[in-house]
Amino acid sequence: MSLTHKFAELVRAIEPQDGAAQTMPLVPLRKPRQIPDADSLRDHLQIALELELSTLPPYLTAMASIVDGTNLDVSGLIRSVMMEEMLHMVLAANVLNAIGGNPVLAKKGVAPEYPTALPDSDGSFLVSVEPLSLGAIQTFMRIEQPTPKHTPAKADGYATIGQFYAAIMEAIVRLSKKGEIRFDHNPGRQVSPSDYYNGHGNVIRVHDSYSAIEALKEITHQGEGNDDTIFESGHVVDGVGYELAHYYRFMEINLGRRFNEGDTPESGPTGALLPVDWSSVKNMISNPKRGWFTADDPRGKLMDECNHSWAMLLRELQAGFRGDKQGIHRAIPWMMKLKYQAQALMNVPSGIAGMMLGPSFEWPEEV
Amino acid sequence: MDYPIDTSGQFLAISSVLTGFSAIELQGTGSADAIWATATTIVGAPILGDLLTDCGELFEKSKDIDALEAAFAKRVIADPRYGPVAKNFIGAWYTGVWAALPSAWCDAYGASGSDGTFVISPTVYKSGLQWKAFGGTPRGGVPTGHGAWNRPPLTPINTNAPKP
Repeated sequence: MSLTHKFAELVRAIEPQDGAAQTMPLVPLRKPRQIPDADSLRDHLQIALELELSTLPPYLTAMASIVDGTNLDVSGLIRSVMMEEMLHMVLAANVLNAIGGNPVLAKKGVAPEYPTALPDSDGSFLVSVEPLSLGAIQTFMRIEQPTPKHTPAKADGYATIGQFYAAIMEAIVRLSKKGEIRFDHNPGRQVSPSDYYNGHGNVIRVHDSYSAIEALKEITHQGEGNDDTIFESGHVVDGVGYELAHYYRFMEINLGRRFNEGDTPESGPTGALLPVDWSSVKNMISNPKRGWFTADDPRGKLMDECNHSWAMLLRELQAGFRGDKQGIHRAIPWMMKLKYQAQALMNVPSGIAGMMLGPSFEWPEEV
Repeated sequence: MDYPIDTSGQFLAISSVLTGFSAIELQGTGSADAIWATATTIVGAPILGDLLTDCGELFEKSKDIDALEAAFAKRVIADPRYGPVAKNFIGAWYTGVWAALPSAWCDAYGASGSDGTFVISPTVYKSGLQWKAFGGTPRGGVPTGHGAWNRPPLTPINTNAPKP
């Protein structure tokens, strides 16, 4: 049989026979699963908390890997994003607390093991604890990637963080209309602007569905921008200009150029050069693990100390989100210490491929 | 006790005995190269080479850290040639400052003209062991977050320090 005949036979085989088309069952188009009830909404807000948390170690490590006194602009940009991720945790916790949830941070398994997919995402990319590099910055951009217009909200297996928060916001509106959620739980736990100050963005107390939406919008706008603009939603910082959304701050580093006022996502950055010295970075091994070393190895002990600070940071934050608001203030020195300990590890040879150690952000066994 | 074969490893090993911090902790400060380079410029390679070689002997003969510390006290700290240099290493690791060598030492062994009392570098100062030892941070050099000065240090003071 010639190839042409074979092809014709194949076409006949898959073409529906007379009348068959009507009886073939149609595969129903599945609507993305919505967040069904209050319990599920609380679960998703806990995941939001974990999602914001999971970005801290990669950002902190990239910043700590910069050789002291070099790449000041890059370090400042990453630091500014990191401080806002802290704010995002505060905002997510405020929403979670208002609807009667209980934020969990200080527990093994809440913070991910690296490399990791973003919590509950579609797993299309992995995030590592690694030194600053072009690749790392591009991963950061992927984390903060804007959601294209008309993209459906997605509660589970999201491709962008915006999709995930859109699903949460949709559920908040729907469930509060149906009277299935209230926002008056544990008002004493609401973190307010007077409890938390870092100069980046607004702390919003959540007491109704409007303030809940406002808090979540603050998160997505800071991350990916808003309505085709590179800026956060109109934030004037110190009266000197607008603040870039995280995605575009990382884009500045990626392209080595600053944005100008008037630039758009399409134009890209047209401002001054942003020189990045990719070689003034510690030669740290990616995703180091405590388990590489025996219990009494001094390198392992140094990693233990670093992980202790990580655990303390999580404990203090959790306390801060559960009514002991001073916990948030107590968490900051631990974060700074964590950075210094990470920098110390980056001076210590790992014994592998001539590379240095780094922080592993593991939950210590003894805590 | 084991003694490394490379110069930088040997310097860390003797520094560990002198300061009471582990070689890995010392490496973590990132200051080893700067301190060693300063000493090489001022004291000179011959004396430092002898110091490392003689210390190697002390490591070999000592069964444990107590014996090694006792040997260091006798053969290094009390030694007229090595003593002032070793003390300067301790000072440099703890404070980031290289102290001018005693004039008697300079008369006897000859220090370079760049000897004097100075901060080795801002980084070495910031990484000084003094801060680790009391759980503090250099003011204005290592930020600890707004209001952190109002709270006790995160690291408890090491009350387990070796006997004087």
